[in-house]
Amino acid sequence: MTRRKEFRRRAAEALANPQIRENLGRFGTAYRTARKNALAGLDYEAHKANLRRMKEDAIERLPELAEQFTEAARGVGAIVYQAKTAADANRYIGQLAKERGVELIVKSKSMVSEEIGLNGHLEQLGITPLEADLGEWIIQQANEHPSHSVMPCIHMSKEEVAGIFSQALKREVPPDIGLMVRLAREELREKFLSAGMGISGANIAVAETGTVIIVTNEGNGRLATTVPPIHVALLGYDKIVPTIEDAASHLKLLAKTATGQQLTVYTTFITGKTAASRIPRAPEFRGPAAAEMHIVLLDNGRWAMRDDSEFREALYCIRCASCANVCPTYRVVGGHAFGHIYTGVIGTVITPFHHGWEAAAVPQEACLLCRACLDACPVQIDLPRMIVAMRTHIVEEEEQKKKARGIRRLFLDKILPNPSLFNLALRLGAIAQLPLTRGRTVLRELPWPLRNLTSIRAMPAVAARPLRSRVAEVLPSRGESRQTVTFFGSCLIDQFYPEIGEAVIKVLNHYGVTVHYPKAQSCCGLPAYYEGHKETAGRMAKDLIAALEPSPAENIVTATPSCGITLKQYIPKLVKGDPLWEERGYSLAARTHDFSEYLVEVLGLGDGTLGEATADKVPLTYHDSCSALRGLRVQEPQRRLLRMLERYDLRELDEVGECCGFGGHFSADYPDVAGEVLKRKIAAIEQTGAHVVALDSPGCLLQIRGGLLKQGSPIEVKHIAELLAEDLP
Amino acid sequence: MPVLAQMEERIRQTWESSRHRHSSILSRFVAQGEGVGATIRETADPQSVGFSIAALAMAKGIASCQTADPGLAKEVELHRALAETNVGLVADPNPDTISHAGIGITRATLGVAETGSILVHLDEVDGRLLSMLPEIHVALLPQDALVDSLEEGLLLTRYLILKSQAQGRPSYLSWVTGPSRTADIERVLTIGVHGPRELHIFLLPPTGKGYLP
Ligand code: SF4
Repeated sequence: MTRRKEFRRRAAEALANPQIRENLGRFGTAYRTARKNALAGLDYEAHKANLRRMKEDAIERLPELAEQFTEAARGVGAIVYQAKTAADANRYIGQLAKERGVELIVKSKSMVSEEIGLNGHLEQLGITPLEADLGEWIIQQANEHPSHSVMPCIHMSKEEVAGIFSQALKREVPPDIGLMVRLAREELREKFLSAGMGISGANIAVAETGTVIIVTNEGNGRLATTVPPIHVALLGYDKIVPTIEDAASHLKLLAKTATGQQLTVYTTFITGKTAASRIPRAPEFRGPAAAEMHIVLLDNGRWAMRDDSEFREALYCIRCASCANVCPTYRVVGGHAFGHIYTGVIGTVITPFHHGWEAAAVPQEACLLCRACLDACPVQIDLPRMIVAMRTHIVEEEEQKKKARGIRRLFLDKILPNPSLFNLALRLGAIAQLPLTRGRTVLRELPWPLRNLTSIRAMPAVAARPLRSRVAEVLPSRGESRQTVTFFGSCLIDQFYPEIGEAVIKVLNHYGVTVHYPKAQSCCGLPAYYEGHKETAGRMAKDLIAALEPSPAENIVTATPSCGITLKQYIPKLVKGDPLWEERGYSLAARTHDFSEYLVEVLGLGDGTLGEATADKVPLTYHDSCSALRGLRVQEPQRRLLRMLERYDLRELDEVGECCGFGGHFSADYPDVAGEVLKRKIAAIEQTGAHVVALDSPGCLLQIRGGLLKQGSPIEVKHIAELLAEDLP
Repeated sequence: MPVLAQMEERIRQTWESSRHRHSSILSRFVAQGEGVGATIRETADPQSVGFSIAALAMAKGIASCQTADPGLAKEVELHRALAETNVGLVADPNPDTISHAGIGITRATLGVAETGSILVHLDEVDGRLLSMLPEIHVALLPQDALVDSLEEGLLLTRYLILKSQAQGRPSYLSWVTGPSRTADIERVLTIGVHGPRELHIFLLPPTGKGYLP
């Protein structure tokens, strides 16, 4: 399939440049601390809610606010142009420059200008646009696109930058950052004084007063809007807010989450025509004499986004780039592979509206669905949901164009949803693997076409006997039965890790819980859902509801948090509106518990001790699965259970909560990218000195255990249920 | 104009309710401002500011101090302070002088303690340029023109803009939070890209009416 191949190609290109992941990796780590420090002492949740409410309201009232803004700006001498498309905006600005005899334009940072390809258009007209933001200037000299929305050239080393300086300034410039900054100041200062037009973006536009708010750290924004006689502010409709006071949470959270600052150095409020008509100008200056201000309000897909209930919230974005900074794959491949013109997660999500679905199909492949972005977003924009919506759209389109056939689709739409076929396929696998496993439970190398599966990690063999053949349907508690639960096993436990299933049952039985394991259950449909096969996922949702319903138990327990999310969150969504299923979907969701959460919250465990205390405790660390941590919001119960174990000493990981790179199909499709994510995880594990890694997800277990095995590491990886089962009296 | 009147009332309330906290707001402003790299000095008499500026200029080897605010130059007796030195003073800058200014001197309208920012409200281009182009920007602010929070600062900002707006006048205001900086190359923090490399804030004796409209 071409979109996967193309992403693989782009990712390979990015991976070939170690600078990208070195810089982004280091930055990602420093970013966490800077952000945490900047947010300390602030009621972050309250401001987040505030900002969200404000943006929701502003976008809801956009027609009225846009009109108010336009009128207010006109009242103080600005000329407002409402541009429908990129070409429309380009034409307006180009014509204006031509008519006023402008030859040189200085620009302070504007992502919208990247969006519409303004520089290229101006150059065609014989006008020179010069980026004045240092990072943008470097990128422009190198003829590249920004790879990050806040730090455009984060993918470059200072040596590379020095090379770019040397070429641009036609002299040898050493890789001395202080010197380069000074040289840029001198070089650009002259340009400011001789430019006939300054173009800026806007971070916020204020309806009440027609004010354009620009935040910069360098001061280029103020110069570009003051020194040249004509100021053009180019911005999307989504920037409009009701009043200046409404911008409080926006300004605070932007600075703190984007760069870890209390406030950006310059926050400039420009209301109307304020540029200089008489200022010192270089002798060669030839251009307009009178000051003008033009505001170009751009649609280019924004109104369509507003009308799209799935994607409307993307308009609430304040471009802080948090979602990129915390993204595990972005940190590995950077914004050129993960992005089109707009980079990172939000960039990918808005690409269909600005640049078309074709352009968005490749970069969206980069998403692991780890949800780190959702947690980091100061506006609570549900980016993972929109990525899944994009996938659904892409798959439907491919279906319509009959572009998609092949094994993958056959597997997702035909085999996976059919329990007997699926089971049969895995049983055949169990036989086919025999010559490779020779009785072992781990496969270090798989032959083509499955080689990708083992390029970064060893794979578990398909279990000789799946869980469904090893245990009965009803597994009575030890002693008196306090509770009865239905165990949802998940394919991974059933077919690859039945021992985890047995451990779950043993622990539950020990604590007085009778376990029902309905054999009619099969896959929950998550793989289909995450890959955009919504129709198939919907069918599987109903099958699973029906399979689990006959069990008399009140609660459902799962030890696979990703499936837990399906049961608790996706299934109700998938059957919503279907009168026959809706209620049953909600009921399933309400009764489902994660294993650790069930033990602690429902059974009240977590305070006592288990097992024998030893003189030397074994160092152990815990890896949070993305699904439990950010999907199910279960984080403390696992730790409480682990602290019960007398033998172990729990040590927390650095960068707690960071994904391991498994991502279901992701690590099979893009092993090299997933491998880099895994490397960071393994390094963090090794740093703790732990002998044992505990986790709560069979997917993470596959990834991390496989990675450690591949390296020949002696560190053991166990599901929390196994650790508990081992130390039961 | 009911909106403006309402805002004036809110500003007055802010003023009244924070007066007793003035010294803590002041120390917060100083701490935050210095935290972002500004140099902040409290002065008991305005005349001493002139001498401090002269000393600063001499220490930095600066040839030209400029301000577009003749009243300000007088208030801090800049002429007298600089007379003894070989630092030139331009109190009526013109297009040709501004780009050679080593120190630009302006007023600030307000300080915001939460962020250590000063609000520079300069609609006239010459004064504004003097806060942008020179290597050193000196801003003078009455020490009772301080609000505690960013929200209060925005209230004042909105008020000032609305007031100009109501008269059909454009306006240009900047919150300045420390000297110009960049981290674009390998994320190394470097001071002084396009804007001033140094920001000196002199806190003048209170006027008694601070930021009141
Ligand atoms: S989506 Fe959220 S996290 Fe990402 S840039 Fe926008 S506001 Fe920031």
